Amino acid sequence: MELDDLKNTWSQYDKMLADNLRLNEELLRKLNLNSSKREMQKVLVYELINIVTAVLVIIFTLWLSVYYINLLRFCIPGFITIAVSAVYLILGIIRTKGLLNIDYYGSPVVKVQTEILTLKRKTLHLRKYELILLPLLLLPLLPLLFKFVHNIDIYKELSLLVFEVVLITGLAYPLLMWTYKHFYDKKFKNAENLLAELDKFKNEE
Amino acid sequence: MEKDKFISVIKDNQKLIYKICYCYCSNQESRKDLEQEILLQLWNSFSRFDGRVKISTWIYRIALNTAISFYRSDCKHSKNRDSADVSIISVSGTDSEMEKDENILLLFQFIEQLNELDKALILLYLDNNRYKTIAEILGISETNAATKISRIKMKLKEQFTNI
Repeated sequence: MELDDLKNTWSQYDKMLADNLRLNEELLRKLNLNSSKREMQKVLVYELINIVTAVLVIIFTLWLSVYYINLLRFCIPGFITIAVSAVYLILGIIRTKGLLNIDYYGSPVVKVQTEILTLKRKTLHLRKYELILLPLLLLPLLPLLFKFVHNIDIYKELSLLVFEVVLITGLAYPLLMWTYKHFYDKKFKNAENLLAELDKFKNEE
Repeated sequence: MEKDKFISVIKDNQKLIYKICYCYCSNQESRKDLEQEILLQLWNSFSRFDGRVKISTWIYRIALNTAISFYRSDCKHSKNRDSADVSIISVSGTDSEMEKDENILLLFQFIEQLNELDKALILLYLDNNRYKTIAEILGISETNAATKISRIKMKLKEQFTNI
C-alpha cells in the first residue's frame, strides 16, 4: 500500500463527510463562545495574580519600612524584601509580555508552537530562580511582620530568630529544590525536547 | 449578525474541523472537547480575520495549533470543561459506519502513529493542498514540505509492504 492508495481512501472518506456531516447550529449558538479554558489563558491569569501580589507586597513593605525608618534592623530587611519582590515583579512582567506577544491567530503552526514552547521553557527556567529567591523574600520579611503584627522584636527573641532562620534555610530550600526537580524539571526537559523536534521539523530539507 | 456569519463559515468548513479532531483524538470524549476548543478559538479570532490568507488557511492554522497544544497537554481539558453531550459536528448514524471500513481504519491507524507535526503535514497533503499552501499553513519551506511527504511515503511503503 502506498500514500496514493491512502489518498484514494481519503477522497472517498472526504466525499462521505461532504454528504453526511451535520452541523448542530442550535448547539453552536448555545455554546458559550467566550469560555475558552485554553492553557495559555490560565497561565496568563496566574501571571497577572503574581504581578498583583508582587505589587501589593512592595507597597505594604515599603509602607512598613518607612514606618520603621528609625529602626534600621527592621527597615533594612524591609528594603531587601522590596528588592526581591521587585525581581518577582520584573520576572512576572517578562512572562506576561511574552504571553501577550504570541500571535496565536495569525501565524503559521510551526511559528506559534515554537513561540509557545520557547516561552514555556523560559517560564520554567525563571521559576527556578523564583524558588531560590523565595526564602530571601521571607527571611527579611518575617522580623518586620512579627514587629508589626505582634509587636515582637525578633532580634531580642533569639530562639525565635534561630527557629526562623533554621526553618527557612534548613527546610524550605531543600523542599523548594525538591519541588523544582519533581514538578518543573521534567516539564523543562520536555519543552526542550519538543523545541528540538520543532527545530528539526522546520530546518531539515 | 457576526455569529450568523461565523456559523456560515463553520458550516462551509466543518469537514476540515471534523477531520482534524478525528486525527488528533482517538477518544470520543476528548474529541468533543477538542472540537469545542477549536470552535472557541475560531470565534475568538473571527473578528481579526482580515482576508490576507484564504479562510481555509486561517482555519487550518488555528485548528491545527489548537489540536497540537491539546494533544500535548494529554487531553487535560476534558477534566476541566463542561462538555456538550453531543458533538456539534457529527456524521449521521448509518454513515458513520464508513468510519469502521477497513481501509479507513488502516488510514487512521497510520496517521495515529505519526507525531503531531507529521500528522498535520499528512492531513494537509491528503486534503489535496498544494505544497505552497502546506508550507504557508505550517510555516516551513515548500522544499521542506515536499521532502517530508516523500519521507512519509517511504515510511508507509516500508510499513505496509506485506499488506
